[in-house]
Amino acid sequence: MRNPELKPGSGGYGALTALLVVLLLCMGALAGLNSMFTQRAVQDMGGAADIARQHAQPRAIVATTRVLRSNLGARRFLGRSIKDIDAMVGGMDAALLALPDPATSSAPRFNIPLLRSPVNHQTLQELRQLWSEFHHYLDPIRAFEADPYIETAEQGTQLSAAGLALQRALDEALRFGQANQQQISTLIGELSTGAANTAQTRAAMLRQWLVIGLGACALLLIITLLLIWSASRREQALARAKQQSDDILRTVNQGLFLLDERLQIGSERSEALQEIFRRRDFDKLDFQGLLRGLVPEKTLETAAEYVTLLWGERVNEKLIKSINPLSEVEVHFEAPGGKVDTQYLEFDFNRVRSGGQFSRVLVSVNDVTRRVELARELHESQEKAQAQLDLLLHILHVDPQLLTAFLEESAVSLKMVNAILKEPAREESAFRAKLDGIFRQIHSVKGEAAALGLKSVEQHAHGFEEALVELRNRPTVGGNDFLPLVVKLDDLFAHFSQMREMISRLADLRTAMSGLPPAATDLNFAASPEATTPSLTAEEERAQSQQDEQEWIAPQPESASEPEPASASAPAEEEPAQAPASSAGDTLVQRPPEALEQLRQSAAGGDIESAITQLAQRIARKQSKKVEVNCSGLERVPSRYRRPIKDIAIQMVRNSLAHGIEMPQERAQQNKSAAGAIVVRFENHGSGGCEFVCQDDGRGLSIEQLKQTAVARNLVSAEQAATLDERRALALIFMAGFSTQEQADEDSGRGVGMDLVRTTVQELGGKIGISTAAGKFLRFRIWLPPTAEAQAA
Amino acid sequence: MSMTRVELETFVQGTTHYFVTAANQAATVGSPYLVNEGSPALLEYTGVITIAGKRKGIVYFTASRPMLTVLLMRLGETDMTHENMADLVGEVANQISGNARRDFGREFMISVPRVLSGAQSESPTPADARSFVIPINWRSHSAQLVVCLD
Repeated sequence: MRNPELKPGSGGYGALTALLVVLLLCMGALAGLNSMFTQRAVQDMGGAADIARQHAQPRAIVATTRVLRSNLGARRFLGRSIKDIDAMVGGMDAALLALPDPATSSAPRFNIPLLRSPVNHQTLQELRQLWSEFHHYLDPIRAFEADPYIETAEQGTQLSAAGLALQRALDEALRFGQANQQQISTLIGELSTGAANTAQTRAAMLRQWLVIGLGACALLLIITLLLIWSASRREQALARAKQQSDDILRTVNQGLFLLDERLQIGSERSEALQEIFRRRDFDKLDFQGLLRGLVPEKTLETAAEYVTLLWGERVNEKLIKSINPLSEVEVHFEAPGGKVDTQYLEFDFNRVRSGGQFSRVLVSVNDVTRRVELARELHESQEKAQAQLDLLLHILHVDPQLLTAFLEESAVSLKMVNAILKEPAREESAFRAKLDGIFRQIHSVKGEAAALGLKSVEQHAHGFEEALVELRNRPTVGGNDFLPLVVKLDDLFAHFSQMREMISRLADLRTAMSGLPPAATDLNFAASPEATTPSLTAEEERAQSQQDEQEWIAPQPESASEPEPASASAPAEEEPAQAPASSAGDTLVQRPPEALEQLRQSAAGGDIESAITQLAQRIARKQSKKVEVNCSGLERVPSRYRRPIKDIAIQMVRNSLAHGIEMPQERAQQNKSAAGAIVVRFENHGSGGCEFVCQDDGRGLSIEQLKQTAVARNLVSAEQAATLDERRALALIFMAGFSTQEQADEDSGRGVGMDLVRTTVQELGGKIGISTAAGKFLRFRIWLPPTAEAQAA
Repeated sequence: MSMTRVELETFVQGTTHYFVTAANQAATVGSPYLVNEGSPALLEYTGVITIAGKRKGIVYFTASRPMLTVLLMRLGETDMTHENMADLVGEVANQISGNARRDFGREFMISVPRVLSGAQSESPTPADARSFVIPINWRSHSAQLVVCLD
């Protein structure tokens, strides 16, 4: 907003000052003139009066001359008469000499102008002429000093020669004086009158000039007063405008300031600037100084370059605004306690044109922290919502109870991983033991996630597994190598946290909708797939009975010569080549914090049947296979065994679908039903222990292929392979790194699953038996010792 | 934004580099782990740097008095005062800061290190944040590098 009274050059103080100077000069000149004219008038009048006083002198000279003549004739004493004449002539001379003589330009006693009038001048000339003549006659008299008389005896007192000369001079002077005294007096009178008139005229003229000067001064004074009044109004308007500007700058929420060409900050700034930049001192501060320490150096350089660009005459304003690097800049203020307070500022730059060129840049700064944070929150929540939607789609297909159990188990698993990581370690063996322990936990999480169809968790766990495998294969392992693992663990924690949040929301939704009609509350995530009950064929049963003698070959393959199911298993450490899980690793795993182990046991298991059935169907769909799963007795798994049985069942079902069950067309060629059959059975024999059986009617195991794979993977040499009998060859599948699959995927192929099964059974003090017929079936039979409760009973 | 391996390695390298250059005796890295609930415990002397910019958070090196005593002796220092101990963890934090500046470029704002002394000091990390704890083993002692970034 611009005040028209405050336009630049609309009557500043220049004119007023000039006027005052002129006024003072005028008054000074007037005073000077007045003084000069007054002095001259006084001189004029004095001159006129002097002349007037000489008016009677000629007559008095003539009279005195006559008296002198008379005294001379009477031979009397001449006395003072000669001196009187001399004095009078001198006075007359002085009066006339005081008047100017144009002919000689001698300095007059009286000022010339009085007698400059032609009339006065003529009169003065005539007077000078006459007086000069008269003066000539009087000079011998004035100069007489001799004795005018001589005393003779004969004639008594007689005139001396000098007396005779004086007598002649007196006579001549009397003759001339009597003839001209009137004329001289008249001329003096005229001169006196003329001088007086001239003086009066000059006085009148002086008065006129004084009046004019006073008038001019009065006029100047009026103009000056007007200008002062006008200036005063402008002052008031300026003060009001300043007040308004101050009010604006004090009240506005924006930080406002001006930058000059040297990027110095101007003196007028809004108060908000102090709050925005948390400082009070802006004097002698430049733009870079304002931002230094608040933004990274790179941003500071970019900002300075940008602001410098603004001074270019040919810059396209719209274009340059569009590339403003400070349109939303993050700044960091030091906060108490060494902390950093992050804010977001929005800078806007407007060029100020003055006198046809850019003189300044107006900078406005807004604190947009809240806006940016809201936008970020919105963006993050949108991203999160998208991720959660994907997660939701998976979660919605999972039985809520299964999901809850999975989350609880996984939380325990992850805590165990962290507990394993936290165990102090300096030696490589300790680090390698950690890798084994962590692998088992992550593999378990991955398996259960796969069983539930939680793809995202499965992928995270799969990535974790890959990192673990890569580390295992390194020649040396140290703490630095664990950094990627802890990052992946962090990712998994975050992912589970997100899942729990989703489930919590779903639960809230269900609660909120519980008051609605039943149809609307049917939010059970998924129905359990209908499982048919496949049964083994008579041929398979026969084959099973034929293979029974080959069971109990693991986990102690070297002691398989004593295949007594009830016998205690020998420790796997007896055959290190076939038992990669070292004692140190076992020790670590056996030593998780007690509370964690208890939590793990209580949370473990869940609905094993649903989990493995869903897993089987999901993998079958993915591999375009068909499968029917028949489960029995799983609900009777003692709590201590729920988690391991579930892990083992998942691993075996995955293996069956990956390696055992054939594609439908292949099965048709072998006169098998299109859908493969998997039987999972658990029997609790009380004090006689527990038995878990997992069997499929797939292609079974080929002893030769097992040997070839083991040789190819450098697990055994070709010579060793050749010497292996069938039972030992079957035991190869429990070796870490054994897989008949070339490429690992999320379902199989890493060659660690059966190793984990073996280790788990070993830890539980159980045994594993395998029965198989190539092209017919594969059966795993696991015996576990009776639980403490069963033994007590 | 989750922590990346590279960022973690940068902080670890900064710490171990100090032992190599100043103490002329390398430190080894222990098995790192997470602290999900609460804040990691502080040892007697802690050097803290605050990070802002592209990433935000806290990184600190915390060590025990016995470890710092041995380290000071190794550095030829005979004056085992509180000030020297505090200066030492400050120097380690400074080294971490320098390494981070070098690796992360100028997009990071890294504060001047500050030193906390006393195991009972208030933890500089937010209570609800997940922290990475990396044990730094040197001789028979173990210090901790804690990284807690948004």
